[in-house]
Amino acid sequence: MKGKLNIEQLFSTKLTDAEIAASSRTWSKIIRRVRWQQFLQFKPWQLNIYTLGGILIIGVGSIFILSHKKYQTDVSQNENIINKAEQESSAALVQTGEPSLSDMSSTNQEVRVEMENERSQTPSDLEDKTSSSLPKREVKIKSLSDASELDQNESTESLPSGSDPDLHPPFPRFIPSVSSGCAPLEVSFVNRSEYAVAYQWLFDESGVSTERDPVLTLNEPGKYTITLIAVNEEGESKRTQQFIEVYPAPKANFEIGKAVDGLEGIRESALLNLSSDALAFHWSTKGGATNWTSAEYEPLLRSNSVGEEGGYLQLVAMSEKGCTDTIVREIPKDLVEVSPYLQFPTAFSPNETGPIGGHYSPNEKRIDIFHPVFTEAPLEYHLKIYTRRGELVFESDNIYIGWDGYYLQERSASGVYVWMAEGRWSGGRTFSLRGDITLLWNNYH
Amino acid sequence: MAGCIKGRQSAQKKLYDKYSRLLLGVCNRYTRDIEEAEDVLQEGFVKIFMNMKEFKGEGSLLAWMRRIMINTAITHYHRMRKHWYHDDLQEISETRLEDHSWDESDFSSEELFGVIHQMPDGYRVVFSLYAVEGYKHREIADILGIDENTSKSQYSRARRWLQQRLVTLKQEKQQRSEGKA
Repeated sequence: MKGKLNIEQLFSTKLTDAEIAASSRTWSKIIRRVRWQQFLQFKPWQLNIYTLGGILIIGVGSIFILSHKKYQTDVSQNENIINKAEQESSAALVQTGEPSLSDMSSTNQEVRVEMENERSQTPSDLEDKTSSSLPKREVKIKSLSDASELDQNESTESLPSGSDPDLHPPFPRFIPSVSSGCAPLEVSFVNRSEYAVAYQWLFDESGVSTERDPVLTLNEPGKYTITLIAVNEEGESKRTQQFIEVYPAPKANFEIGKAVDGLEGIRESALLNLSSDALAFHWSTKGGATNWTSAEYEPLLRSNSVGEEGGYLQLVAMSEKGCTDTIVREIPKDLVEVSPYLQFPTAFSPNETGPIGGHYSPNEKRIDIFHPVFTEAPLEYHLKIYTRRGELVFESDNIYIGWDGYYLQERSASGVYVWMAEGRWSGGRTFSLRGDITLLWNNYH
Repeated sequence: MAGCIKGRQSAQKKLYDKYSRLLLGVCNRYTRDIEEAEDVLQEGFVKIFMNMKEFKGEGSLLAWMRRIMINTAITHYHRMRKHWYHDDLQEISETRLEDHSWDESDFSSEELFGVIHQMPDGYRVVFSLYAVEGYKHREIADILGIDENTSKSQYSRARRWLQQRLVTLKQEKQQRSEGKA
C-alpha cells in the first residue's frame, strides 16, 4: 500500500489542529497563578473583589497587631518615663534651683499642643510632660498609640498616613554574592533594604521567595532578572532589579576504544571525545606509574604512556567562558596487558670465515645471525627467506636458529632479501609478518 | 477579548474553554508526555492572561497564543535539558531507508503523539518546529540558540528516526490486526 503523504505532510495534517482535553484541575491552577501575579503587580485598574478583600484583611490584621504591640510597649515606656522624669526634675531642682523661664514656657506650649490631640489625660502624663524635656519622639509615639487604641473600631482612617515623618517609603537594595558564573550557579543575596518590613523576591522563572536573604541555585544558563520588592509598614512597595548571568556548563564525556596492537608491541586505544559545549580539553592519566597529558581533542592512548598498573584517565573540558567539567574513567585492562611480539632487524653482517649454523641463545642479540627478538617464544614458528628473484635461501621452524648468511655452504650475495615469519602464540593468536633484510659482508674485518 | 485584558475571570474562562484543547495539542508536540504538556499549557495561559494587553491585534489571536505556547514549551525544554542530557547522545543507525509515503488513515493522532513523545528530546523540538509549525531552519536556529546546520542535521536525523519508528509501528499494527483475524 503506497500512500500519498510524506512524513512532514503526515504530521502536519494530523497534528496541526489536533485537540486534547486538559485535565479538569488545569483551569483552577491557571487562574490561581494569574490572580497571584496580578496581586503582586498591584495595578489599580486590575483591582477586583479578591485583591480588595485580600488588602483589607491584611490591612486590618496588621493594624490590630501593631496597635496591640504599641500599647504594650507604651505601658512599660510610661513607667520608665515617670521614673526618669522624677529623677530629672529632682536633680534639676537641686542643681540649678530654678529652670530657665524660656525653657519652661516652650515645653509648656508643646505639651499644650500634644494635649489637644489626646482624648484622655492622666495625672502621670501631665506630670511627666510638665516636669521634663523628654525627647519629642517618645511623646509622639505615645499619643499616636493612645489615639489608635481608642479609635480601634474606627479602623484605618484614624492612622494618619504620611503624616508621620518617621515612616519613609521603602528603599529596596540587595547585593548578590556573584553576578555571573557557571551553571549550576549558587547565588546568595544580602538584603540591604531600608524602611522595609516584608520582602518579595522574583527570580524570573526560577520561582519566588519571601525570605529576607534567600539563596538560589540557578541550574539553567541564561540571563536572569532578579527583582526585590520591599514593603514598608504602610504597605507601600518599591522594587529594584539586578541581572545575573549563568554561563552554560560544558559536559565532559569520553569513551576509550578497544585496544589494538600498534607498532613495537605497544597497544593503543582510540579516545572518543563525547564532550559538549566545550572548546578546550585536557587529558591526563591518574593513579598510574606515568604522568601522561594531552591537550588534543582526541589523542591516542598508548600502553607505554599508561604503564602496567593501568589507573585512570581524566578529561577536563572547558567552555568559552572558562566553565569546566571533569570526568574520570578507569583505563580498561586490555590496554595495559602486555601482548607478545616479535621483531626482526633490518640488516646483518654474517661471519666472514664460514657458516656458523645460526644457533643463538635466548636473550642474545647477534649481529652475524639474522634472528628476531621477542617477548616470549611462540608456540609455532616458521621463517622463510627469499632472494629478490624469489629463490628460497633459508627456512627454519626453530626460533632459536636464524640465518647465518650462507646458502649451501656458499656466501650469499650482498643485498636485499625478503623474509616471511608466520606462527602462533601460546594464547592462540596467530601472527604473519614480512619485511626485508640487507645483507652486508664486513670487508673491513 | 476586552474582558480578558481587564482581567475579568468569566472572559478568561471563555477564552480558555475555547482554545485550551487546541493549544494543549500544540504543547503536546514538545514534551515527553501529556502531564508535561499540561504544565506547559498552564504556564502558557498564565503568560497569555498576564500579557493580554501586549497583543496588538496584528494577526490572529490564536496565532499569538500558539506562539506563546511554543515559546513556553521551548523554555521548558531548555530548562529540562539538563536532566535529560543522555538522550541527545542516542545513536541512530546510519542505514539509508527507502523513502516511505503514508496515508492519512495509517495512524491516528494519538499514535503520532505517542511517537513524538518517544522521540529523543532534541529531535522532537526541531521536528515539531519545522514539520508541523513550518518554521525555517534559520528561525529554529535562532530560537534554540544553535547553529543552522545543527538544526538541519538534527532534523534529518529526526526524520530518519521517525521513518524507522513509523515503519515498525505500521508493521506492528498489521500484525496485530492479522492476529485478530
